[in-house]
Amino acid sequence: MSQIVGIDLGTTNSLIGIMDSGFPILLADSEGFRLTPSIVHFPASGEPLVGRPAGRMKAISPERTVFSVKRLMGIRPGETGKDTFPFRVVDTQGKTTIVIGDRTVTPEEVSTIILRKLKADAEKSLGESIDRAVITVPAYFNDLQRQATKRAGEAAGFTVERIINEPTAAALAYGLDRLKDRSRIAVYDLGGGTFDISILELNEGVFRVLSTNGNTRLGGDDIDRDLVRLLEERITARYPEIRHELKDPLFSARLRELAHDAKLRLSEENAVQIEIPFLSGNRRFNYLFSRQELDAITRPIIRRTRSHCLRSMDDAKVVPRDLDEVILVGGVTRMPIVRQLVAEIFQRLPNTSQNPDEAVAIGATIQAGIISGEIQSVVLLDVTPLSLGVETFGGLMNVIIPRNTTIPCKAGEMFTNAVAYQRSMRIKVLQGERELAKDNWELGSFEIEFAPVPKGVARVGIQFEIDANGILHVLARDISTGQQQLLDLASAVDVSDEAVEQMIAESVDHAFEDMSERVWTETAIKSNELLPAVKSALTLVGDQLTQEDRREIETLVNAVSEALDSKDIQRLKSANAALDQGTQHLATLLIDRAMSEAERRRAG
Amino acid sequence: MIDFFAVFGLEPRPVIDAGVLGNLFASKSKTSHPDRAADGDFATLNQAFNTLRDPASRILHLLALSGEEPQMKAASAGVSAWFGKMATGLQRFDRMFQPLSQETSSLLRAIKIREAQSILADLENISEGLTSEKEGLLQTMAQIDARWPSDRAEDRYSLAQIACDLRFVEKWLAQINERRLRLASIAF
Repeated sequence: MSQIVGIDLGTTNSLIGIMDSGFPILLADSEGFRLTPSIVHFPASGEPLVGRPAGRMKAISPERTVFSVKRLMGIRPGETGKDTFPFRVVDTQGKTTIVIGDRTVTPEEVSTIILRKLKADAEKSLGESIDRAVITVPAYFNDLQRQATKRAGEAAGFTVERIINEPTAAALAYGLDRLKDRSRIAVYDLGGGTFDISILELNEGVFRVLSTNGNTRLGGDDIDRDLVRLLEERITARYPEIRHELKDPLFSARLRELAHDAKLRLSEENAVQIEIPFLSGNRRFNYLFSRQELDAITRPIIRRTRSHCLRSMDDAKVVPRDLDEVILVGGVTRMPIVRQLVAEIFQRLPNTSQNPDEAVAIGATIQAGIISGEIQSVVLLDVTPLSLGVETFGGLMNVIIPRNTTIPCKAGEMFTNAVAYQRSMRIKVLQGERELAKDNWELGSFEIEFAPVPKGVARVGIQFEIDANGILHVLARDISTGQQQLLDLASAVDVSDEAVEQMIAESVDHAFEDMSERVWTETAIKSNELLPAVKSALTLVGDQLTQEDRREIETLVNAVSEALDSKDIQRLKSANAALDQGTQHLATLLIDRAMSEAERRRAG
Repeated sequence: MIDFFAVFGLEPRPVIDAGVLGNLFASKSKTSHPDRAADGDFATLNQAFNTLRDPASRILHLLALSGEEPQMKAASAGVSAWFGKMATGLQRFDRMFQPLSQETSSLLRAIKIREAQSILADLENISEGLTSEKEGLLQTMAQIDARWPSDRAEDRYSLAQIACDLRFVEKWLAQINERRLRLASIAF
């Protein structure tokens, strides 16, 4: 049997590794680099370019160069959120697809092309064929996203031996030379497109994941996007007349590159000069971009990881002082501001011993070694990140396997006929943490058949199994014969209808936005809420403000009061906004006070 | 029916040390995980671990092993007494939290966070009460464990009641905790 490779199929970069006499090593691609950019360029004719050569086409031919495709894996139309790409992403028959000229590719197919390159380059450097792989996914990927990744691997010619969670893989990389340890660690994994936090217990070679949480649509790409927006604002402030040219795909691509490079350099430097010499005509744009500015953009994005960390610790029943280490993984964790915020969340300095780009691939390779038997002393017990359940009467979600259950696992559920002589029943399978069925992901549905008997007499046992890949299998067991039958989940493309309805509802909402009456009322309500709030905030923490700050706020308050009398919508809107802006500091003081009060309550 | 105690080579009884169970699970995983043994029944080991580490489901399994199926649905009077206070607190919090989570003005947010904070303080008091209620239940359980194996009908009845009470107390604690997390996630 051939060797098993470990593959980190990343949003930004992909890596491949193999066990070499007991040690995991990473292989360089045909361009000589261990990190292969997850970029595919589709030329008008001929074979697609992959990796570095494709990366060079990003700025030249943005609409034919696909990147960050992982953010589209297993995603249904309407779920793409705020993401915008220079290439065309469309919905066809309830599926997310990418249109390049006159051809259409799915995100899965793009991943397959990337995996094929990794495979071919590895085969070239090893001089033998490879057809078995362990592939990583974000821990918070749902069943659909895992299945899409597995199919992409199979289409690339691999037997996918295991789908493994990225933070868990990183924990293996960290723990391989600490097998005698008994410790608890957290892995904070912030990559280009996804965020995961996992808490593990290491017990003499057994790596047990206690909990995992995350967001599959949060990462470095979001920082880049906000950075581009900031640069666009700065350019339009200087040259308002070329506003419309900023949307040009070529220019956007260039701006995106500049922003991304500036972000990378600001991890080492305190300021970088951004230069666009031939902006449009003779205009040139120079901008000294400081780390403080980058931090201001990054902070709100990183803060969104905080709630996931808190939930993860809560589910694992640990508090920060129970943890022995907090391991950082993912390129974004190189940013000083990220390290600082992680230190605040976990109340300790994070461990930066792992190479943030390579730890996941090393871990995938170690898992490959565990499966092949090359590594004997390690067992990895992972969990399912999301609760699995079925829709019950009244549109509620009935949880069958709760989140953070160790996998592989199984759970049975008995279904009975609700009315006499009912012949069948359709069961919707859901994944997620929300109470209402419709707020969760619908994985699909299956039908159970009943014998024609009185109400409540028919009984069909359904077994839900989640395998070691985190992928669901549903089996029906006939109680009388005891025979098991694997059920196929009919895919649930109809979910998109709801997303469409939602969009329609929103657009109707916007249609009324111009109705001045309604806008005035809403704006005035806001003012009438703000004014007393400022007053009470000043009573509580006003003594901590300087005279100057106080006067400034009073001026802003007066402006709102006057605007209220003027009946001028625009004036009131901007007065509100100015007061909002001018009381930021006051708000911070108020929150600080509330926090220390809460702290004192807990202590006392 | 599988005896989950036997899966770990343990004697069936109400109390099991969490550390001992965790170590047994880790060492047995080494031989039964699908990565180690193709024929190992890891899913059953997993199910056994999850049943035994939770006091309520452990008790119910213990009782079921001796052929009893306790049909208790109601919490004891002591535990029920908490429900009213808890539900009111949760409702007050949720009414406060909904507009707070959508507030865009930082000052209004700050003011609302303060209010939510004080409602949460009431909830935390209830949470403390529930926690000591839970400790009391676990203590009674330990007392019964001390005279185990017991065939006394009243011991078995108390165990069933404890399992039921624990389920309620834990559910409520989780609901309060959920509010604490929600506020902690947006307020800092």
